[in-house]
Amino acid sequence: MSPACKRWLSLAICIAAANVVLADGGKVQLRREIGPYQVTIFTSPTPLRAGPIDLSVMVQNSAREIVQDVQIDFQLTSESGEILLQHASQATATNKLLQSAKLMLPESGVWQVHTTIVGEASADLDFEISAAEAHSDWTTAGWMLLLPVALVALFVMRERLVREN
Amino acid sequence: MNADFLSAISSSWQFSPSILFALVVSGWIYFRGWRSLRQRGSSRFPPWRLGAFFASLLTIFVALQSPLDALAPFSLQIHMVQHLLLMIVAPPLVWLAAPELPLLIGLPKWLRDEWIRPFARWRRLRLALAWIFRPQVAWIAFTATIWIWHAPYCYQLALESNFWHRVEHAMFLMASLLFWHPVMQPFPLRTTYSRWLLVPYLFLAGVQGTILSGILTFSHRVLYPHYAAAPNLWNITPLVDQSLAGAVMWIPTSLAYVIALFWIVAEQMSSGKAIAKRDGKYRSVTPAHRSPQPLGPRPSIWAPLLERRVVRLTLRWIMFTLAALIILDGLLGPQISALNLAGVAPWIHWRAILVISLIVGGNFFCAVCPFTVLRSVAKKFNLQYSFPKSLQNKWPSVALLALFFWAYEAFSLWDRPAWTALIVIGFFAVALLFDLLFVQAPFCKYVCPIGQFNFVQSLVSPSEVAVRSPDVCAGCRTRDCLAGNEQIAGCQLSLFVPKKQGNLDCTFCLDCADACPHQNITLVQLRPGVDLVSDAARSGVGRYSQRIDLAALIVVLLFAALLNAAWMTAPLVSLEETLTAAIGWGRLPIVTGGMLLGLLAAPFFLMQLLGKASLAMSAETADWRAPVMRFAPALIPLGLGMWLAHYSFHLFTSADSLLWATQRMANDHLATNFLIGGGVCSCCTAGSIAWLLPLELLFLDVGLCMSLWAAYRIAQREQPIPQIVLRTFAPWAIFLVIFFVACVWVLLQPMEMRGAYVAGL
Repeated sequence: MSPACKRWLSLAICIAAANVVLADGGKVQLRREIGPYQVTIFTSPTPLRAGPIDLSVMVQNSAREIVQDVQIDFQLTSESGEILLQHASQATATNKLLQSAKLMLPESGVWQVHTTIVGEASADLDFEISAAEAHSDWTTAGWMLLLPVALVALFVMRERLVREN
Repeated sequence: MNADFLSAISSSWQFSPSILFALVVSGWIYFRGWRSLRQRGSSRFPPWRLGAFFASLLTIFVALQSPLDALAPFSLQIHMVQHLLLMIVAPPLVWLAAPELPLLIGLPKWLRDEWIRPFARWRRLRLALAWIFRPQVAWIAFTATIWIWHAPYCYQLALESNFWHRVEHAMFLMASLLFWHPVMQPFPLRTTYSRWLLVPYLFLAGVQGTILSGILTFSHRVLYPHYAAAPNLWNITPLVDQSLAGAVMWIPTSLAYVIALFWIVAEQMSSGKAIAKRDGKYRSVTPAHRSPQPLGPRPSIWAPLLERRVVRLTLRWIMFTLAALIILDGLLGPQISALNLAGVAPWIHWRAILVISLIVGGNFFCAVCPFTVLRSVAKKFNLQYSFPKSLQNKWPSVALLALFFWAYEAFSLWDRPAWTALIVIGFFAVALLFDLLFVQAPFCKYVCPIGQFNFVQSLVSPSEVAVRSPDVCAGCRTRDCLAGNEQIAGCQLSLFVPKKQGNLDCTFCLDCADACPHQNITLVQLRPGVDLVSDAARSGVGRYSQRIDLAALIVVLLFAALLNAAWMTAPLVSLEETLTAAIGWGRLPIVTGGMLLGLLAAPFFLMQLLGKASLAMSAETADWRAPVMRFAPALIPLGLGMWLAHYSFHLFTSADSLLWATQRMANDHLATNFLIGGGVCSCCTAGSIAWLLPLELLFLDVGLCMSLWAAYRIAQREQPIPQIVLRTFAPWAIFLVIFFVACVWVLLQPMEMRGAYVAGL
């Protein structure tokens, strides 16, 4: 196999591996028995940062079957008193075993999360999440600057090779 | 397992655009190459090779995007299946497809010639790749990858972080491709070592696999804390799940190694006879009949659609109807821009779709322009005046574009539906008036600001209207494509297609194609950007390097791209408010001053500076305008990148505003139910949607690289001495990088959401 082909194949695989969507799932934040339910909550990204986040929930009954017909609401309260309300739904989840809520955490620090689950029975669940400082947009821009740098380097290399040949 | 579970799992397919894009593009390139090889009579690529390649892509898709990925966080066994698909199914299928030749031949020729060939000839790269693909290196890379990613810390990291999960999958796939390469020995690889060496290669791989599987199977504790905490879906304990995962790893991988081992041994035991037979099979084949390839450039993928006149006319009337709706709602609807079609359709959706269509295909808006719908009627009453010679250039459009950008800011046009409707009416009226008064189509060529924007940006489009075969045109004496005939007008912008090059002034109307009696004109593929660096004399346009009016148009559009986006950022809005309060004359003088400075004065002085710097660097004695005219086309890609980034921001943060406005309009006129709610405009920075800022920056990155490339090639075109090339190029490169940084800064600022729907209105 020629080097060129190997290079293109590797490039295609790297592109295939890239995915910029904030997926649901992620780290198991807690798993708890509440009333008739067993509730597992996942958070993404890991580590959790201010900015776009995902809170996903799996609700199971005592027979460990997944329960979908429940309404799940999150209320997040920051240390400074800011309150965020978000409804979780299966529609917003890529992984349909979960119900997912996409939120925009405006600040870092500890957030109190109050979860309300309403179905055949009702349950409330309180826990804390700790969000680190958000990635600066300049960090994203910095990473994205690598692309023109790499392409320019590749072009310079190509010009040299053409001259040498 | 309840019905909820089955329903949820069956709908848990993912369709990640990046993965789909990579798989579809790889498949398409392979198919093109495979088809070409078949047409050349190669019997080494029977249909099963194509099937193997597509099967490998399908396996990767299933591994990464199917419900397996949804179940993987809950069960180590399922996760293991996912990994095995990437490690022992997809890679052998890839190599069975012998992808080297098809992938190379499937690429565009210019890419092969200009980019692949120099690197393919690079000895150091060849040696490095040969070293990586050596069996011992491949074996170590494969084993190390498996063990590293099964270490508890790394595995846990991959389970918790999407980023590391993707890295893990990519490494598994790449290491496995390396591992299976010497075993499968894909054509045209010829090994220099004995194939017997693959016996210990596979045996030792089996041994290490057995040890790892054994650890997973017989461990007394859960190795990965994630699975201990994850929900239990099938009433099996995490330890049992782990043991079963070990077995899942053990049996199929061992089988794969054993089958490969038997195959190698059988092949070697049959000695040279079988191998000679296998090779001989290919040598004895007579090349198949190759179907004759049509001469001339390849047709664009848009050609079959747009070369039908009925399609173009239908689209034109649809655009006309949409324009009528915008006028109607702009004049009669509520003057709340976010809820009025005239507030959202032109300023959020149409602009974004326009620039996207320019980079995807070409000047499609002009092809279906609603303002020219009545042209054929108007021509019947045409007074046959000639458009004044002094105005037959781009200066009127430079002035009109500057006036438009000023008016847009000064009168907040995005927030005035009625004014927007009046502007659309104005377009119709002026277009009609020009068609009644003048011969040819001076409105499109010299006046229409939208047309000028499209002409300039379409210089980097991947399609152009061109002839299929130059020989046919050489024998043509009637020149119907230019002069027209009794049925069709021909090119009204005075472009003679055989001598036309690129897209400048071409409205893609394809009247030339309809008029051509030989059916020799169509939409063909154009290598994006190649027109920027060519200085050929073009029919109806001349040389770009001698058009100061064109250079001015390009420069104004470049700076307008930055200014138009910058004026909605918090720092500039704040500066405007501060100055307005300080001076006390209202907003108009500030906006006017800002526009004069940003669109005219600053570009003029900067271009003068760059022109003089270019001349000084090349020790050339000429007017400063000469290098500006030469290098101006190189500025287009960066400008287009900024337009694209800016308009994408509006489109992706406010796409649903069209729905609200349409519902509201329907409610007003048809008394349907309209319930406002659900839409929230919280997106005031590109960073508030995870993928939007990277996408915007990607557009800018590509624009910058293309601009730098074009500027360098223009410098090479003008200067034969390499040292002078670099010196001439340097000022433009510095300017492009500074402009790029300014664009990045603008994109990172909080944006004032203009005309977008905000909950609670």
